[in-house]
Amino acid sequence: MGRFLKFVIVEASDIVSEGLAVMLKQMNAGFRVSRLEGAGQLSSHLMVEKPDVLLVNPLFPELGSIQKLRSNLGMPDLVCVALVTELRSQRDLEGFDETISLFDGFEQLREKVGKLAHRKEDAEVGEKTLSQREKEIVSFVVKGYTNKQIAEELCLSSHTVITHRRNIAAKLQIHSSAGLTIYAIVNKLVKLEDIKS
Amino acid sequence: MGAMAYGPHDKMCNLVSENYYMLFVLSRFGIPMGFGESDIEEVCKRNGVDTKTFLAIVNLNLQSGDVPSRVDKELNPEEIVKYLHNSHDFFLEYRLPSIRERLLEAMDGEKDVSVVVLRYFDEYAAEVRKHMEYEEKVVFPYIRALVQGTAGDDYHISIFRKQHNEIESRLTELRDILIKYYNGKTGYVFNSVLFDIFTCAEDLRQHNMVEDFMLVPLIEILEK
Repeated sequence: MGRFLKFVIVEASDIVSEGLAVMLKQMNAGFRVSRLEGAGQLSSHLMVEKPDVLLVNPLFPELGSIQKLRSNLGMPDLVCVALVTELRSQRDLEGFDETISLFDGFEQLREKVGKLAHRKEDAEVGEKTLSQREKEIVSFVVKGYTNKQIAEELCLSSHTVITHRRNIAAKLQIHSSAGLTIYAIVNKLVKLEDIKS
Repeated sequence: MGAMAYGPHDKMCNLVSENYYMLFVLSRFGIPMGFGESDIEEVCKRNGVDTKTFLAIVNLNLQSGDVPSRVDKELNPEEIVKYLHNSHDFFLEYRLPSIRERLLEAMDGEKDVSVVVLRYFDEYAAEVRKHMEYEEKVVFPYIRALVQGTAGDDYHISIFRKQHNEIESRLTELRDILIKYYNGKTGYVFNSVLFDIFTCAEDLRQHNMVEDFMLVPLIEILEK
């Protein structure tokens, strides 16, 4: 579990939520755990915190359906874990990615969280490869085209080109054109002779 | 590295063997090895170095991350400038050229990639040179004049403070590009030059910390 995950716990009992927070931090000191206190703020709290994992009592009144929550928040990848403190019917647990029981031991908890962490990593690897269009744009940038020229070549608006460039920088974590040039050469998107010296 | 600060009566040999990073600091103060059992103050005196300033820089580097709240106004600004000047000389005349040479050696046979990597590196080194030359030509002469009481009124350290940027981020970008995307031949040389890039970036960060959190606040006090 190398990744620093961010958790939000929504549970009325202090003992349960504090105890869970301590166990999570013991698993990985890099985990960030916060707790929602008080009612009526679930969505706004999640919007601000942008957690990777939501740990929530399925009977929490504001919760509603998990699918709806994800789409309302615009966080389709939000991992939702049901924090079950008593027997529940399967219907209450619909849409959750995982269930943690009050009686899970440390090892069980570690195993479940570990699985979620891996899934999250896999999802992000997927997001970080460039689309075909983005690769085209990289090769134009590296050849020294301006945003306007790229827009003309690809029949896009300049605005769209700028958005693509921003996404490329975010995916690759490369912010200079000299850096993109290395990426493009290594990945054979361009040849050395195509690049303006 | 612990956050415990070193004092004048700690042994110099312990400082170095407990924190090998301090080798960089010592060479910038012009302090040679062969300390025997001498303490920090004795070694500093023997080499004409102001002990307080030496310890302040050592302890600032050791803190890594935590920013000191106040600067000791007894520090010697000319000694700090001398340290920073030697540090510039080290980066520009030794460290960066040697990394360049090793990169070239490491990517021998990867012609296309080595051309663009070196182009990146040369652009970066030119940026660092420009950054440091400004300090050498404008900031340091101003500080020397200020200490001697001959500074004019057309420059203030606040001008420097506002425009002073970090300089290691493009080096760490290169490092990360190589780690994530380089798929050419690698080996002992390649990995050891990557290692050098890690330590050089950290060294640059610490160099900048001395400027931002020691030199600038000290000069602000002197200007009053």
